[in-house]
Amino acid sequence: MTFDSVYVWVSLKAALRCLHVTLLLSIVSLVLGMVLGTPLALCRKFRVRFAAQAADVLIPVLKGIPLVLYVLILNFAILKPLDALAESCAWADKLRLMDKIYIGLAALSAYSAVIVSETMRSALNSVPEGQYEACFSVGLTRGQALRRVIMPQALAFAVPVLCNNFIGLIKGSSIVYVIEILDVLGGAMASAQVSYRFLEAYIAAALVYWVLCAGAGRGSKILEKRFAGR
Amino acid sequence: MKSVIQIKGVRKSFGKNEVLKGVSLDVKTGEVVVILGPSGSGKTTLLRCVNFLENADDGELTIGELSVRFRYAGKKDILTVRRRTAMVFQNYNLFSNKTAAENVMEGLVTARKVPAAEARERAERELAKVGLGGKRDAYPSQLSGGQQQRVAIARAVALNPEVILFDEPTSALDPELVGEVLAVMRAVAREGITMVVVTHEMSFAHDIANHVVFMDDGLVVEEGAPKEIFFHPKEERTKQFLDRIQLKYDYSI
Ligand SMILES: Nc1ncnc2c1ncn2[C@@H]1O[C@H](COP(=O)(O)OP(=O)(O)OP(=O)(O)O)[C@@H](O)[C@H]1O
Ligand SMILES: [Mg+2]
Repeated sequence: MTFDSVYVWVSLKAALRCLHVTLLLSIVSLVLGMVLGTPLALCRKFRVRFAAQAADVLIPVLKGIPLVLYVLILNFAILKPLDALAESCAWADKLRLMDKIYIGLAALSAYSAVIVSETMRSALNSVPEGQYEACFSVGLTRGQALRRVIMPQALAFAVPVLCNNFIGLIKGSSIVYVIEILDVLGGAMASAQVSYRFLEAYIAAALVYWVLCAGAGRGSKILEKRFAGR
Repeated sequence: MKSVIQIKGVRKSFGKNEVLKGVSLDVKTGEVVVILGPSGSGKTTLLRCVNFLENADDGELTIGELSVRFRYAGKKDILTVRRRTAMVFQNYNLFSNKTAAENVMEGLVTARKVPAAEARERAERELAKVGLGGKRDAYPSQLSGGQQQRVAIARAVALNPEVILFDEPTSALDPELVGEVLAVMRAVAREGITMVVVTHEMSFAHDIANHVVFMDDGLVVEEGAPKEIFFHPKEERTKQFLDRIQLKYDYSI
């Protein structure tokens, strides 16, 4: 079978029909990652009792686990109990057959929380101690200091790294194909199941991911400019 | 005269290293107290303890009607003390994400709930007084060291604190920028604002001080009027320190 660019086009259309799934997975996991990861970083920075110690132990461990395992483990952990429940309750059966995108979202968000918490930790560490002291010296509380001075500076530092994290999440989200979620990669693959044009499908998917990542990179540059100039 | 701020028996150790060994200080209203002493004698640590940037191990602080033991100071006491004092740091510590005017406004608006318009007005007035009326929209990275320190002084003065603590405000500056900052500090002193100043600028200290405190090795060795300390020191350690600084030979005051 020779390469046929027509099938790239066919697969591209199929992939783009599932674009919203990839976008949903990567954007939601980035946002949730920031919502969960920032407090984690703050707990570690300010040595909040128990939370800081727990995070010190867990985050290095969780960081060492590949994304695909997050997906597989959560898939198992969520579906297995439902299997058992399904025998007695009808609603469990419904849940079991629901869209697996929620499992993908949970897995990617957990992974993202770990990654982003590390980003935010280094961002917080990039703000000199003197900035806190200046805040305190003019009578700000720690919360006010964080809100008004520390976090804005930390965020400016974090923007390019967060954008890299986001690009990692866009590409990483393709891993959900192992639990049969129809995202960009899944959509392209599905179109090839009929035609057996796999190479064309892979290329189509690659093109979409590349454009998405290039777009995110562009966005990063614009955001960095907005935060710079001071 | 009334005391603005009184410190009694401050002790502070870093690990085994006892840096303050029971320091007491009494600052009267409108007075300029200059703290002298060799490097490592605990001057910075003392100022930082007053502002609770460092937690003293023991001692007592009285500011106005508020009296607190350092060890038992609660969050509210700490905030109260910080809102009645201001600090000018050796390396300026301007908020790098804020313009000069915003730097001055921050403590007014966020900590003291002054309306933004009024705060802006006060910020512009204070910046003009330190000769930086035209720089209100500049970010710290766009200012020279001397200009940054002048903004920091404006930030402190705008808060209308009962006392301003200065920790070697000119020692991070290039020599040619020292003068402009000292001039601003002289003006602040003339306004009658109570100041505690750590400095190595001897002639400046002599000009500006009402009261001089000499510290060494975590203790106040000697204190008194500038004339006394500079020209008739009683303690051997004070003499040695002043000789090293060469005040008597360099300046014929
Ligand atoms: N955060 C800290 N941790 C440990 N030791 C410290 C800390 N801060 C200060 N010290 C020690 O406390 C002692 C006094 O320091 P301090 O900065 O108060 O001296 P100083 O009189 O201000 O000196 P200089 O004139 O050099 O500024 C020094 O021996 C210093 O090493
Ligand atoms: Mg010092």
